[in-house]
Amino acid sequence: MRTGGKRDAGRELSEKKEQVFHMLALDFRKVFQMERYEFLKLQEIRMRVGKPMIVVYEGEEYYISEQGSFTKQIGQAMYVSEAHIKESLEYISNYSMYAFEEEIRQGYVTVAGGHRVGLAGKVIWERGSTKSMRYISFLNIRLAHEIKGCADRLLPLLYQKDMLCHTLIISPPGCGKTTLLRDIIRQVSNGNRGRAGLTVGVVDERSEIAACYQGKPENDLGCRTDVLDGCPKSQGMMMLVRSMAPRVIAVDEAGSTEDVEAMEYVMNCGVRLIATVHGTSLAEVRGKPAFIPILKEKLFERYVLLKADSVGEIEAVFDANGTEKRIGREREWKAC
Amino acid sequence: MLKLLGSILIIGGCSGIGFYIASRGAARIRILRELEQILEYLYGEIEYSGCDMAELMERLSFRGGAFGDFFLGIRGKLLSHQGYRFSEYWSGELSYIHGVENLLSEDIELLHCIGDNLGNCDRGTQLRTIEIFKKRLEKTLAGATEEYRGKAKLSIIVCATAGCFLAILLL
Repeated sequence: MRTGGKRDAGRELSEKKEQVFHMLALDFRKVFQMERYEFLKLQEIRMRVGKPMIVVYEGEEYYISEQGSFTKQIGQAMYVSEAHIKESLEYISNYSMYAFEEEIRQGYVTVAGGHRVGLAGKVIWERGSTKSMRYISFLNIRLAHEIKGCADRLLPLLYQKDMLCHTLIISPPGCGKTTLLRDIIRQVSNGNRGRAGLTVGVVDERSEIAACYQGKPENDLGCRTDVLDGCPKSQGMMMLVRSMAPRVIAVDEAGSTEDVEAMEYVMNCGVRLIATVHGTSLAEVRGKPAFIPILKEKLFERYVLLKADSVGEIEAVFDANGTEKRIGREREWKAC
Repeated sequence: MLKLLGSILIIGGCSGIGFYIASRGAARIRILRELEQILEYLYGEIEYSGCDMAELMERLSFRGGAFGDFFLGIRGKLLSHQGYRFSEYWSGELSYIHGVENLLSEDIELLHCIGDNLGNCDRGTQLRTIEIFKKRLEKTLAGATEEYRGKAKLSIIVCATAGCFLAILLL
């Protein structure tokens, strides 16, 4: 059984690797096939017209040389041309740019494997909003790596008398809150440590949690999870409560007054809520105008604070009164 | 007796050539009409469902007809992720259109142009491009139909007459 599991994981990894290759222009594809590297440590691939291609590997930036190696020497770097970007865009959009119009308008495309491609170029602005984007000259391929089990040590603190607590995860951008949320969803949905699985509804406004591609979640969110993809959070939460009867609702990066009002509605409906918010401390979130009423009412029973200057490190867990809950000795998990 | 048999064969053969020439025109019209329906379908699908090219090619291949294998081939290549442009896949599969030999060079050129302009622009531009191709095709089709009406009978009559003339000459 274990060997089979390993083989499956290997196949999954190789599939994800292929999915990344398939987004690159042929010139770069060849180079990536030459380089020996650990795929799980590859975080980002950045392409800018007329500039060298840059990869972020294990948190450090490297250029790609024509010999197919990661290098710090700019003189050896391979440069990205306009044709490379055009070619990559064709592959990223599956030769169907028209099908990704909405995503392009928002500045990113989610592709097979759950990877996200950020786009920048000439924005066509009309009546106060982005109509389209032309002359796309900058691509940022952000590789999705699920870290199953990263919420293992945190989960026991999120339950009180076997009941999941309303939880708010606080973290600055890029510190792993979505990865942590994803694993919490998966474990709550599947059941964990003898606890039965719960039906989870996910409102994935920016396709970051489930990374739905053609309607199918590319990330494992458990067997009892329903995903509303691309739906605004405030509306999505209401829709889920009315239509899917979830026991738990999860949302990422809540921030607006509408989001907070919807969260309050959800919590008052007897549905448990897990949400994330940008911030560096509990005090900072308490100072956000939209959050003031909901935090005053002490609706959230747990606050999980992630460390600002590292990835995936839990700084502290607080209860509704702001008392710190003790987490296990090994307090950190490392992304990749 | 042999002379009579020879004459019948000559007249029959020449008339057959006439019918063949006429049927080529009819086949061309049939393929162009099919292409017109395909453009209509593409327009509708891109406008309302917005599904990607691989899915569109698959759906089109299910329709069968002269273009069934053509679209199936393109779909296969798109899913293989070999890393070529869409227009290259499109052009590479043109020979798999049933009855492609009946098309004129201007029809083939139109097909190349359609392939060059599919999938690489936003929805509005894509729909406008298809609209332009539909109009171009409409004109081509009108011309082909008119040409067929005028030439089909003529080619049969001319060939049959030529056959008679040859038979008389050889008798």
